[in-house]
Amino acid sequence: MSAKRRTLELGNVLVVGGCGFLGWHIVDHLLNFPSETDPSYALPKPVGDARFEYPTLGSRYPDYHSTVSVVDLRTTNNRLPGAKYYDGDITSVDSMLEVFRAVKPDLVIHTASPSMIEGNKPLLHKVNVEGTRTLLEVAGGEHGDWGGKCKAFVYTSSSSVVHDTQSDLKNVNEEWPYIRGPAQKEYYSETKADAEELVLKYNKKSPNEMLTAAIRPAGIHGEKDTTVTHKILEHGSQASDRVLRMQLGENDNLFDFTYVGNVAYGHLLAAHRLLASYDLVAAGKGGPLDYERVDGEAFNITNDSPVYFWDVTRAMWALINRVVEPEQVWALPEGLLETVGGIAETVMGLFGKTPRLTARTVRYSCMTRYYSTEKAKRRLAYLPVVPLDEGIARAVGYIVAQKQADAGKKTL
Amino acid sequence: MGLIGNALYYSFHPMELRAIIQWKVWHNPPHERNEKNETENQKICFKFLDKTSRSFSAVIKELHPELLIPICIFYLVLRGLDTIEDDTSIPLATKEPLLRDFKDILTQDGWTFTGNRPEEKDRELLVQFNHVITEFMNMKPEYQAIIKDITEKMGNGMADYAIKAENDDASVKTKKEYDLYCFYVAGLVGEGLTRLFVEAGFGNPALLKRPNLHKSMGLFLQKTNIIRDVREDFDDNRRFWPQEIWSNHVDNFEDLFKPEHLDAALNCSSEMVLNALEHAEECLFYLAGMREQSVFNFCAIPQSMAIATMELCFRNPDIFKRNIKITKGDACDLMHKSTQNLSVLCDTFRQYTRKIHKKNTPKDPNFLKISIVCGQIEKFIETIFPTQSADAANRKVSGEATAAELQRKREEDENKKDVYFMMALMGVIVVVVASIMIFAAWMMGARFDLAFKEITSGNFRPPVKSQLEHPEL
Repeated sequence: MSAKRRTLELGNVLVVGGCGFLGWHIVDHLLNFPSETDPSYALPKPVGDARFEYPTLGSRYPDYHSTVSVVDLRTTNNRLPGAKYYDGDITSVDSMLEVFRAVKPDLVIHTASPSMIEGNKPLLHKVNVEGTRTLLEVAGGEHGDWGGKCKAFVYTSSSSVVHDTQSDLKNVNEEWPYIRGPAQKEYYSETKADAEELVLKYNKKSPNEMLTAAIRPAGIHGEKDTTVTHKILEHGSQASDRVLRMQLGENDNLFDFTYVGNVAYGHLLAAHRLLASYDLVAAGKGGPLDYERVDGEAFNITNDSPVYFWDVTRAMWALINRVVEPEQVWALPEGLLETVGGIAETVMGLFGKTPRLTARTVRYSCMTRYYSTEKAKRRLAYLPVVPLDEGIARAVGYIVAQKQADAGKKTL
Repeated sequence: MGLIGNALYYSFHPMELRAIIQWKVWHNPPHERNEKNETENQKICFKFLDKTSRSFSAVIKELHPELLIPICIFYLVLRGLDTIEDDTSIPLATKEPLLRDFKDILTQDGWTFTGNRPEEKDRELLVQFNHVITEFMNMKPEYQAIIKDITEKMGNGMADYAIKAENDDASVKTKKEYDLYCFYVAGLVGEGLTRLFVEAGFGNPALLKRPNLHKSMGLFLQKTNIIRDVREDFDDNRRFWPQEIWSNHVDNFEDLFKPEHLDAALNCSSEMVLNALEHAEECLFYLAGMREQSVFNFCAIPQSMAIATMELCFRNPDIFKRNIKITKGDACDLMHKSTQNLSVLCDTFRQYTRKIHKKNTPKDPNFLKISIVCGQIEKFIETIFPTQSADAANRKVSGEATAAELQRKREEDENKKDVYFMMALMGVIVVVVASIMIFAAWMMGARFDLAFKEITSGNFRPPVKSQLEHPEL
């Protein structure tokens, strides 16, 4: 924690998908944390429990200077005070041009994507690949003048673009290749790779020579997380003691989890560097050196704290007072489970159902999957400001408090 | 344990016995001390080394000849200093100048000290300290300067501590004070040794530019001892666990030793382990800078012992009851693994890190922090000895094979060829042996023609002997 906070000048920013999970956090950063300064926008959190006490975000992340606009498919939920909200569809050129004419952004941060779980193939392709292309072209000025020049474009990619969702990954950096085609078992990752490639190749290629970069988060969690944390807690609160003690695999597999605020911070650091490079080139002072370049580059952003997979789930369960002691753990070997999961899938598949235990979930909880953040540390001066344990507590605290509030409403 | 006890113990722990035998039989010291060329005075110094140090004397004696005497003398000098500091019978007015001026004593020919109380265990060393001084003055001036400098820093640190203990409460309050204390008693030694290694050309000079690395080496060892010895220290009325840590778990330090506070005490000890484990990564980093086998061994053995001790103490209620130690078998196994190379040592670190992780419990408030520090050690090992590479991943995607893969394929093909050849050879042998047997049978009058005829007409069994049908009565 530095005593003196940095200032990041980001100009006129358009956050695409700014009402989504990550997008909301980016907007919260850009507006200097109204979630902490404005009580009517405060995030729910359990009170009177020391495990959910942590320092403010605003005191640790930089001081952001910017004008913030948000475009999302629906902007009724997840609003924050101080940003302008626009309804828009990134797959439509006209819809985007309209927003760009109104906002005239210097910087676009593109976080919009259907979630990995809900997205069907055509939708994933349409939004992730075609939508990103449309957005790039509109921002780059290819679909006509919208009254401004976008200097920088930061894309939220995914660390899964280099992963076949099967193999172990150990300390993997950005030099690893995209996995596509038959080797890629997850269509979501394929579309993210396609879109990331589009973004990076578009660097300096548009009429306005807009600079681009991509951020690849891994295992993102935090307040408002509706996927990872939610699922783990659901199991933690519903399963019987016996089921909770079951562990798939040996639990020696390290896994990356990243607090959403750190991911937002990574985006904004990259954006800041892109804007600085753009201004340098525009002023005729030449671009950055190759080894410090940010434009046209992708960056892994993690908490730089890989932990044993089951430790994170148990830490989350412990926060809802379901403690599994190490001597109670019943470790089931992976080989056996994959077979069981496979059979369950086939049998239940005949009835058109998906079992809780599939071969894929087994592999997922037994695989090693962590990344190197050296590049982001070196080129973006990135550091995981919020430590992993705090991030986990924040994610769990939000859900716990929300549940308490819901229960309160019901009794009223 | 008597002989029978030992026999019984090892019959149930054969792996430990195996490790002990392996160490005794196979350990090959990189250098051996040559007693023939030693002066009388040097022999006396080594005798003191054996007397004063149990764990260090063996490793010191295997050091490269260039550093053998300097490090032995360095050790004895610090031991002398320690013997003055430890002795509570010496009044502060005498103790303080002795500690502060000890660096000058090193060049006072013939200096000895008889002011220690009789029960002080290393009293004799100071009574005959003139031998140490003689040897010190015979050393290279560069080594003398380093030892003198560290002696000065440590003497002043000890004097400050003694004054503080006299005037007010000397218990360790903050984590920062705890680190500072450990730095004075162990971190400074690390600095001195590192400078000696680099001076002798056995350590990477870059180590001097990263003082936090050798500091971690010392702190990791010292903190391990402080965790392990908590009971013994408490009984001697000394407490080194910082208040900043224990006050998170208990109201009074004494509560740690009360059975009703066991859960809190265990959580407290695991916070202490967490605090110590934060140095492990830098210790491995430091060891990567060693350029000579005996120096590597000298540094690596205490480190691997430390992480094993840490694992033994982690969430172990016994540390609050008595002094615990790793078994002799484990110690031999660790010594064996610490005298190979960095990669083997890293495997050992990973192995104990995982053992710690397996004992980590979610009811501990630092559960996730401990998991994180374990993960960090594993990740660091992966960065110095990577098991995956972007090149390999790229080739996998592009379908190209590496030189190593091609080599493996070639070897596999060769192996296959060998297998086929062996099978063919066996076939030939079978045919030859069968032919010889058939020929021999034919020579002895076997009627293959009849046998063949019988078989073709479907009679696979020999005809039943007729006498069975007409038994004679």
